Order: sequence, then C-alpha cells, then structure tokens
Amino acid sequence: MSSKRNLLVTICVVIWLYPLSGQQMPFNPISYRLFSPFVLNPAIAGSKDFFSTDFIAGFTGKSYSQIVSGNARIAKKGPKYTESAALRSFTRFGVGGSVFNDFNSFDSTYTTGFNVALSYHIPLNNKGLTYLSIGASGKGIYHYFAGDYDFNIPSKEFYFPNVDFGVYLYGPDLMAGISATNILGAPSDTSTINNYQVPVSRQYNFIAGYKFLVYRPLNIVIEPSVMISTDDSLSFKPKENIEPVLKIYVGNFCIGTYFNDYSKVSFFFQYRYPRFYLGTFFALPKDAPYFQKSPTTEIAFGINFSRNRSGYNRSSHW
Amino acid sequence: MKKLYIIILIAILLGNPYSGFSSTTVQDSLNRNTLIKVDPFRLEIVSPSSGVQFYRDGLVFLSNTRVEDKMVQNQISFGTPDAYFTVYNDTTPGVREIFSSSTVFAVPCDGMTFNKDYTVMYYTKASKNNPERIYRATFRPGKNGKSDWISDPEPLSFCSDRSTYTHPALSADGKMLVFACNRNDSEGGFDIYISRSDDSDWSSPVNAGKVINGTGDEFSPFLDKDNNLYFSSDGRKGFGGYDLYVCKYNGDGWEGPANLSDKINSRYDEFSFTIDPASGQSAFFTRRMSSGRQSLKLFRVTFFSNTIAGELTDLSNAFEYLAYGVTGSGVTSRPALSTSLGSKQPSPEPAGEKTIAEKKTEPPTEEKLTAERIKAAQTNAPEINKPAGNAVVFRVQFSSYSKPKGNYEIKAGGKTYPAYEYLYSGLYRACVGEFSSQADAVSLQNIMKKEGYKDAFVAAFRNDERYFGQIPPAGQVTETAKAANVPPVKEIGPETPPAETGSKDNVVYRVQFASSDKPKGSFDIRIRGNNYRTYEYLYNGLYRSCVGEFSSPSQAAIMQQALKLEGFSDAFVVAFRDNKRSLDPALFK
Repeated sequence: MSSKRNLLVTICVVIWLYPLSGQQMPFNPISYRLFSPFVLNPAIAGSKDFFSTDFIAGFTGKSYSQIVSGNARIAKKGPKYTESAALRSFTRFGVGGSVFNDFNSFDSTYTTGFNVALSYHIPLNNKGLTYLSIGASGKGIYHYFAGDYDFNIPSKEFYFPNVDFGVYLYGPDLMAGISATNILGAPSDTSTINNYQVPVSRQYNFIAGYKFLVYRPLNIVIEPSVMISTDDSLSFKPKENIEPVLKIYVGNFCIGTYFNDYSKVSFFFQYRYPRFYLGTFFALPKDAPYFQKSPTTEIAFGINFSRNRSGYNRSSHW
Repeated sequence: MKKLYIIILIAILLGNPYSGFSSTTVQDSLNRNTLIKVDPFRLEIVSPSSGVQFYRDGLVFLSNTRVEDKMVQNQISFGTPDAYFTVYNDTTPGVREIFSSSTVFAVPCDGMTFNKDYTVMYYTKASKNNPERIYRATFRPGKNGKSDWISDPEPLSFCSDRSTYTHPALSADGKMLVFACNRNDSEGGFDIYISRSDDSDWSSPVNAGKVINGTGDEFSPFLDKDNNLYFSSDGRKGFGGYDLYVCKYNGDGWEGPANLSDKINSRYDEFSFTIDPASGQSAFFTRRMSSGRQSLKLFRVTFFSNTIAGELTDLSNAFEYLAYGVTGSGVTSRPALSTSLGSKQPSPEPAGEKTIAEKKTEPPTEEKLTAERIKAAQTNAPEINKPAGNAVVFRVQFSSYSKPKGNYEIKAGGKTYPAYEYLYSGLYRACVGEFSSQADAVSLQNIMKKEGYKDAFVAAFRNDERYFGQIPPAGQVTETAKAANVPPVKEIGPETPPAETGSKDNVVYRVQFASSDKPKGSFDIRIRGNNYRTYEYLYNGLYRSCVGEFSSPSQAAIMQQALKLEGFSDAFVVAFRDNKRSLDPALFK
C-alpha cells in the first residue's frame, strides 16, 4: 500500500515539476488526429484489424510538417487446416510507431521526434467486437530554437524523452478514450538570461464519438465526435479546448469537418481503396482574406500492408 | 423425283439416331447444356471453411460475428469466426442465425456432416499442436436444458496425431464415414479413406483403393443418398487444377471415377461439393479462381426449369448423367449429343476396373441399361401397387418442439384428436389425424387453421416416417388408416363423377398450392427462378390455385417438389379431366 502511495506521490511531484504551458507534441500536421489518431492516444494502436501506414504532410505559409506512422494488432499463426489458406489470428497486443518533423516559421523552431506505442486490448464480449485497450508510448524528441539575432538570443538545442499513456474503449459504433501525452513535460534553458521554454506541455486529451447508421444500402454513416484537450493549468475555454469533428461516411468515401481552430473553416475528405487511401485536409481563415492568412493544406496517403487475418475480404475499412 | 428426295430425307432423319426428329423418348428431353444450371451464390467464404454444407432446411456456413451487428460491415473491425445457419433464397443467403449458441464452431463448415435426423455431427478441428482431426458432436440438452450441439472432447478413436483427417462425409444410413487423410499408406498426398460403424465405434480406416486414389491429392469427399462418392482430385485427367469426380456405388463398392464434365469443372480448382440430402434439387461447390482466400467462389447447382418437367428427380441422377452418360434410372445420353452440343468430357478412365471390395464391374452395356430402365420403371410404379402396409398416410402437422412432449390431445372442429409425435431434422413434430386421403387431411388442416393453428400443414408418412415421394392416388385407404379409428372428416367428392375409369383422355395434372374463399384470378408465380402462370378453379366452395399442366402425375410431382422448396409445403398434385377436378384413383396410376 505504501509503495502505491509513494508511486502516487512521485507522479504528483513529477507532474508538479513540469507545470508548463505549451502544446501537444507533435502539434503538426493537424490531420494526424483524424487519419492516425493513435499518435495522440497510444491505446488506439491496433484497434483496427489491418496494418496501415500513414504519410501526412502539411503546409501553412512557410511552416511545414510531416509525420509517418503505422499501427497494427499483432497476429499469430492459427491452426492449420488442409483445405484452407494458413490461418492467422490476432493477439491482444497492438503496436504502433511514428516519426515526425515540424518546422514553425513563426518562432523559428524545428521539432523532430519518434514515438513507439504498445497497447493491450481486452475483449468485452464473446463476439470480439468491443474492446477496452490500454496503451503507452515512449518518445524521443529533438527541438531546435534558431534564436533571434536582433535581440541577441542564441540558438538552442534540446534532446528529451517523453511518455504518453491512454485508455480507449471501442466497438462497432462507439469509441471513447482518454490520454495523457508528454507526461514528462519539456525542458527549459535557464542558463542564460534569455530563459527559453520548449513549447511542449503535459496534455490531457479526451476523445469520444458515436456512429449513426443512416442508410444501409449505401453504407452511409454519420459520426459526430469531440476532442477535448487541456493541460496542467486546467484552464478551460470552450473555443480553445473543445474540438468537434463531424465525419460522414458514404461507402469508401469520407468527408467531414474538424474545428481545430475556430477562426478557420476546415474540411477534409478521404477515400479508401482496399490497399491504400488518399486524404486531404484544408483549413481556411474565416475573418481575413486568404492572402493575408495562410491556408493550411495537408495531404495524407496510407498503404495497407496487412494480409487478411480475420477472414475479412475487405482488408482496409473505416 | 421429289418423292424420292422426301423418302431419302425421311430415311436419313429416321436413321440418324442423333437427329432431333427421332421419336420422343425420355432421353430426348435431356440435354447436357440445359440439364443443370450453375449460378454464383453470394456468400463470402470465411477461413478455414472452403464451402458450405446443407443442414436441416438450409445451409450451415462459417461467417464472422461482425455480421450480427447492426452497423454496416465496412465500419467494423475484428469479430470472431463462428458457424451460422441460413435458409437461403435462389442465389443469396437469407437471415442468418447462430448455429450453436453454446459452442463456437470456428471450423470448416463444408466439412461438417450430419446423420439423417440431425442429432449427430462429425466435423474437423485443428489446434496449434495437433493437425486437423475428426470430432463428433451430438445435439442434446445442455446445462441450461436447451438442446444444442455439444462436442466430444476427444477426436474419433482412429485419428492419430501424426496424420491429418479432413472433410468427413457420412452415408445416408450413418454406417459409413469417408474422409480425406494423408496417412502413410496413402497412394500419394491425401487419399480417400473409409471407416464403418459397428454401432459402438468406428472401424480402422481403409484406403479406398487405387481406382479412386491416385498419385495426386483426393480430398473433399461427399456421399449422396445412394452412396455415390463425389470427391476432388488433381491426380487424373481433367479440365485443370482440382476437378470434381463421381464414383457410382454399386452396392459393394464404387466404380471408377468419372469427371463431372465441364458443366461443373473448369481450369480452376473445384471442391467442397455437396447435394441437398432432403430434396436432391440443389447442390453447392466451391471454385478457387487463383491463390488466396478472396478467390474462393461459391456456386449453386440446380435443375434447369425444363428439366423439372423431365424424368430426373434428383441432382444425383443429373450428375451421373453428366459423368457417365447414364442415370440411375437408366436414362442415357448419346455420345454424339455431347459432341454436337459442345459439351466436353475428358477421356474416361477405365471405370469399374476395381472397387474397394476388389469387385470387377463391367462397363454398362446396352442390355444392362435396358434392364436398368425396366427396373427403374418398376421402381417408379405408383404406390398403389405396393403392399398396403407401405401405403402413404397423411397427418396434419401443427407444431415443432426441441423437446418431446409425449402423449396429449388437442381439440379441433369440436373433436378431440390424440397428438402424434415424430422426430425429424432434430425437432419433435406434433401431428393429428391419420388419413388415407390427402383431401381429408387438408379438410382437417383448414379447420385447424381457422382455430388458431396457422402453421398447420399436411405431412405425408410411410411406415411412420416422413415421406416426400410421389403422392399416392387419392382415396386409397390403408390398413393403418382403417385401424386408426380416425374421427370422421367430411368426405370431399369430385364435382363431377369420374368418367370411364382408367381412361386418361383429356386428363392433365396440375399442382395445387393455395386455396382462398375469394377468387384471385390467374397470376404469375416464381418457382426456382422461373415464372409460371397460375390456374384457378372453384372446388367445394373455395378457389384453388394451381400451377403447371402435365401429362403424367410423376412430372407434376417434380413441380410439387419445386413448390415445396419454395415454401408451399401443402402443394399437392391434382388431376383434371376435361378441365374439371377428378379424384379418380386410376388417373394416378
């Protein structure tokens, strides 16, 4: 009991030591939250019965970012039947990983890193359709601040690790998850008079959504969902912390909107082929001409490398 | 000169046994190209299944639990494989239900085989450490009191853990089990083996012999109601890949295999063949178009509509015809028929060279075929010629249960009837009455329907077993029926007295499938994929709907079977003389 209390105290101290304001890591490209959300919650890794890799690149003015990620449920060899192809079945473990790179022209920072996630999926019914998963991921991050010659601020480099943790409940129509990302926070440089703080903070994320079947013959499904994020300050401004998402699926096509930034109008679409998908995300400023505020353009491309493991012919699906 | 040409022409036509102008015989109505039709069946084949199996009134097949969810399939991940049952439509499965609620059967469903009353099943299961082996499951009450399939924990005693035992098939009498196995004494790869039941256990398997087993793989065996053996093989001449073959059972063993022709086989692999044991009107097989699971396509085989009016009543006969050019009832094909119509058949193997009983069987000769025809004709003789003890009686079935209810009585039409219970397809069915005439049974059925037994229907029995064959002449009273002290039911007489008994002038046979107190007129009805115009007549105050118009009761009986398959379980053959209903027994001879 005392060891648990010590652990709790240690966690509280660690959390207290990093009361940093900042943002998620990676922050860009924005659409990874839509196309490969396991980066935000490691428990999502392996929640689909296929192995998809995602390549996402985004541009906003002179800023650019890329992320390459992939996640899958680990499979194992099943019993061998004579008149059947070799069977494979799924274990309860999921894995995922990502490499990301972000250049922010506004504050002249580069952030590069990687993330490795592991998840464990517990089936909640005999039919194997609803699961509760827990996951954790480790990150290695390199952050470079170019400095400011006008104010004689030198450039700075940071290497630091981080940890994410998440829980995720998912089934045919419901999904909900919570995660804590960048639990270890980020270092700061207090060695000089120009105190520099890496703009990364511990974040708490909540995501929930529900799929409504609208019209079965055309496979039309509407999925409203919401992402809520906050940091240790627990400050809560609806327009900053609540990010609604609406997805409309029509067969292999998905179109939707994501209110990541209320000052912009955003929309995305995605088309899934059995072996790959194409997607794109746009965000246009609402209150200014587009030539005064740079639009955000992101493109996503995914390849499904998995073999058919659950007797499901459509290897790639939503 | 012109007369000479005409005479020569007639002589040529008459002399040419393959011309279409020869006298009309049974053979002439058979045509390889229009005998059967093979349609793709829209059902996804899920590993480790390679096909489907007939079960009760439908199919058992492997699917995934995700199909049970209300969400569309492309939004769902995972799920687990399990066996499902469906009553299928023409080329699509119907509503599916779980095969066993207590046990997960994530096994090849095409390799499931059932005894006649669906109380025992044999299937194969593999595990991580053991190869595929044959298990037995029985349909019996479980812990919750509900009957369900409960599997033995151990495989059949002859299954070793060094060999693979796959795709068992049980004979109709439940005494013989054939399966594919790669034991050391195989002729090469997988061979067909046979085990026989001695009531307590299965005998040590015996290799089916070199006539059946070649150097290639033989697997996916199936036994039809006559114990004819169907299997898939890549070790003999065929159309490419694995082809389906049939070996005719002669009572002691099997004759040499014959290819099921290009109507079934292709340059791809064909396997997992099965025929509906109940009706014989439907068969399934799987074709593998290339490597990989997605290439497995399921096909359904049925008669062409015009064949229903022919002489073949069971697809087994049609497959025999395609393979051997002769059916069990003696119907033959002529060599040039296949040639002229483009039907292909690989060079036949030396059939009948050796059977598992080492019995020499000569190829069928014309004399033998003639004898077979005579025998078949005797077999097809009307039931009236058979002893009264074998006669068909009619009861009105009104309910089914999973558990027996024993003796009890029900009231219908102000009278009390003792319920008669029998086991069929794994369920206990309750009936009342015992009539020698179908019309009498229909009368009681109508009374019961009015009194709330909406599902009541007339079922035929012979020797106290459910009977699906030809309906005997109306009005025939059996000894059994006489002795049964059946409560009196109003006699339904013909509208007009029968004309000269035995005369068949202006006589046609139709299949009646519905009655109504209001006229419905003539309308189209779809039967086995074809549209038929109905015929309505007034009889005993009710408007009766019929379909078809046949010159013999046996032809009408085939249509009756087709109607029953479509759900018209009460369909029966009626005779009309001069377009008026006739109950003259002689008309059914």
